[in-house]
Amino acid sequence: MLSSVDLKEATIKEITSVLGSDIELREMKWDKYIGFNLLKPEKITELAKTLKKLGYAQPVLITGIDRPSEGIIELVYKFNRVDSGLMTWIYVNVDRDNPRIPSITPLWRAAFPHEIETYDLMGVVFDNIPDLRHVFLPWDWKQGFPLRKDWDPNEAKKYPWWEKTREFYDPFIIPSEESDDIYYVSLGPQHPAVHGSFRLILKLRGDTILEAWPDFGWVHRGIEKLAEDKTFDQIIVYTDRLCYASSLTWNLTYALAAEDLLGVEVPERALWFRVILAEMQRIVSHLLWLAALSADLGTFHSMFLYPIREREKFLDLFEKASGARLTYSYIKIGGVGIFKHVEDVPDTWFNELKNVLRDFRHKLQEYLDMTEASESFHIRTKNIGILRGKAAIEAGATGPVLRAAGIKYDVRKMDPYLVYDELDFDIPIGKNGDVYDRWWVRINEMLQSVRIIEQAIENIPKQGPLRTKVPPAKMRGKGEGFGRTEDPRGEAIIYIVADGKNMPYRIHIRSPTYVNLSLLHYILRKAKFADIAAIIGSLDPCMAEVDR
Amino acid sequence: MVDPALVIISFILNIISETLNFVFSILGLPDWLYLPLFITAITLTFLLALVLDILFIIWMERKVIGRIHHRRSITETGPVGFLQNVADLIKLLVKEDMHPSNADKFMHFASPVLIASIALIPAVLIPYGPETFFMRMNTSIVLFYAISTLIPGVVVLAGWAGNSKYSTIGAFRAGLQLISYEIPLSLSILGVILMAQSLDFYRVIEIQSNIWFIALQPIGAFIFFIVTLMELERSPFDIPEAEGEILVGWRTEYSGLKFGLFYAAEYFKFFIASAAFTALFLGGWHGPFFDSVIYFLIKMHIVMLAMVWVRVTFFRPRPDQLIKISYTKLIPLSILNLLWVVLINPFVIPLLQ
Repeated sequence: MLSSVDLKEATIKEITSVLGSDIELREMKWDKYIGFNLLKPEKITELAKTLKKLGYAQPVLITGIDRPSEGIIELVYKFNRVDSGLMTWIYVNVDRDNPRIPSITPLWRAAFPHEIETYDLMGVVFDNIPDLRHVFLPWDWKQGFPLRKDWDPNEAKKYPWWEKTREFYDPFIIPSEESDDIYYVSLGPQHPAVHGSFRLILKLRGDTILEAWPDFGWVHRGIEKLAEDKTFDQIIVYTDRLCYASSLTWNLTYALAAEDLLGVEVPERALWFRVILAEMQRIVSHLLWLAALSADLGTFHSMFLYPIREREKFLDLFEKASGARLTYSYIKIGGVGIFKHVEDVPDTWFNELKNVLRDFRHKLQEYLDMTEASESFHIRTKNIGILRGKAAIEAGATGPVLRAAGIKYDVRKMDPYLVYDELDFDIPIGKNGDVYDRWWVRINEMLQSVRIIEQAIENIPKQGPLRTKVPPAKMRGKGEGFGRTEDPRGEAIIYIVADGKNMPYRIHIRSPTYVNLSLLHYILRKAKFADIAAIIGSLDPCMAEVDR
Repeated sequence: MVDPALVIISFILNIISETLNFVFSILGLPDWLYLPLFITAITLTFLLALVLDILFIIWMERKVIGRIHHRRSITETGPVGFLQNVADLIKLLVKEDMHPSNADKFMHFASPVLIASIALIPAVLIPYGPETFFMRMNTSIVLFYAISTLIPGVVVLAGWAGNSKYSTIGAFRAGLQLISYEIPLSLSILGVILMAQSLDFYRVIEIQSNIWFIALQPIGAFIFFIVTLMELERSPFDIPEAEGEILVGWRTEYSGLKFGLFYAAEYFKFFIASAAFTALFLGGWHGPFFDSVIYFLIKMHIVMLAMVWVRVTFFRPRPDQLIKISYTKLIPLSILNLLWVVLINPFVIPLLQ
């Protein structure tokens, strides 16, 4: 295996040799990432081909930054690797009045959700993309592109919202196409299987799904736009609302990005404490997922309520620490928040956490007795929703879905943040990439999280500050901030661009669930109607995070 | 020893006849009206008892499930939450009666009534005690299952009348469920009929005075139990309803009183199916010291508890897996049970007499 430095050199050498004068190396703030300025937008497919040949896994993020003063939209592509934390960033400028660029979706399916999102909110047209349409906005939206800087929010009022909700609002269905054996079902936006609100258009023959199209945007709040006129510490509150099931990891991702931008140093004790919090949040999130999956697999409410019971104990601990049970806003820029009017976390809290963890190991065994020991669980989860190996990378899966597919990819190991490089833990990986493997991977991740927390409690410095105080006047930054973490649902990225004000110029949130749910189009094929709930549930959807 | 239930029942009958006599003497009604009014009064009393028992069953089910789920279940309305079901009933009664815009109005209105009434009819065919039964007929078991089989047909109609894709899918799943449970059901009853050499519930119970059929043909009892769960559409075989997949299946478009009738029908079926299990395999009214309807009721409620227990323990199979389970496991097993019955019958029948 090549080391990171070798890889970097190899990438630079290969790309400059292929593209020659169309590309120039960009000075990057981080050593671990490579940046290029692509001078000709039409060369992007060639570049992507080269990167794919070099072994890059997926375009993990594609977004645009509107710069009206220069008359351009700056597109940012980020490619990651499965075998190393190295990322290659490509910056391309396209004309603002006629923003066109070739799509890389034909090459890399993983690019599809990002590209249509950029089209949807930024108005960049991707040529040759199979299905260019609005995702979060209504499909016949003509009122401009909201993430552009000169967009007037009053435009949104011109859309006939009320009339549209009454009529049969559908971009896909042509009812005359229905015949005796082929019919369409619109699953959602209100349906118990979709965990929130999104819609699946299903084309069915008998009980078998021929094709499925996910349709998002029912709880779109425009957090990226809202964050553009909030100061850096106010945005924390929005990151809570990204995903109700794992607020703290989103707090953490944002805090990492903002600290990166503002150049804030975090005290040692806070780093360790953040690890504890993030792993507790991972357990809480996975428990909620386990509960929801059990409800999906046949209204099995015993298994629904048992994880909720254990989750409650962790929530009590969170409540003791932050005062909140769901939206904590506890990880702040520069450290963590104040512990109930006291500066430091008391030892009793850690002791309580130890007790809860010890209890939790036993309870986890109880879950296994109810699920893995039961034949009815195996027949419902095995060999459905299969996505494995290279196909999973191609399609853009991250997190437990990718690991269940047999790919050892975890940001905590690849690109360690906080103090994860000092901790000892394994990455559980699956074999078949079916619903059972996703369940298995998440159950084992909970065990690994318990291990991590126990180590962190041992190693956390006993004394020291938990927070670097950053006065609001100093919360100004210029340049880029980048936070990349392993969310319970996959790879979470928050990318901030600032221009020296106390507010970000542009903030982009990569939602892992959005990409994972886009996979439904592929993995629902040939599935049975009754498996939809199980397959959607196994991807762990969190719709607030998908729609942002 | 005297059967205490008989004392209570004769006491109630006395009250009814005294009251009727009193009414007749005041109003001077003709004598030929006495019998029809007497029968109506008894039927209403039985219905009242049934409704009270069903309220108890729903309460029991909710409490037991709550205990298994580690939660407190209903506690607030009435003593130990017993009146919660009454409150739910009132809520259903005062709800607006709605139907989808393009639904078949007649069937949408008729199917809940049909299902609830069809579900109730088999109750009169079961003998609850040696003296407490409505009717005795030579072929009551056949009639019992003939009437029960009508329900999935009405379910298909009800789902179709809802005019929604989900309710149609649910209705067809109900049909699919029917074809998967019907054969093992008949085969497992056949074992009992062969052993009892009668198609009469009364005779089947009578013959079990020494030993219950669950001891003589455990496989048959096991299959019958599973198949009863399928017939009742109870979890884990609640495939036609399948909350979480197809909303609530064929009942999706029904609300208010219509939903209430479906719900009532579900518990009528629950009551009757457990009664059938008790009669066929658990020796009906037989018990220590005396034969009584009390033993019948106790056994029936234990069967119900077992069904509730199953409900909270398993995941729901897929429709295609249901058919697979039925045709590759249950049918061969029930044929095996039949063979077993044929083999042991010559030795067992003299003992049973």
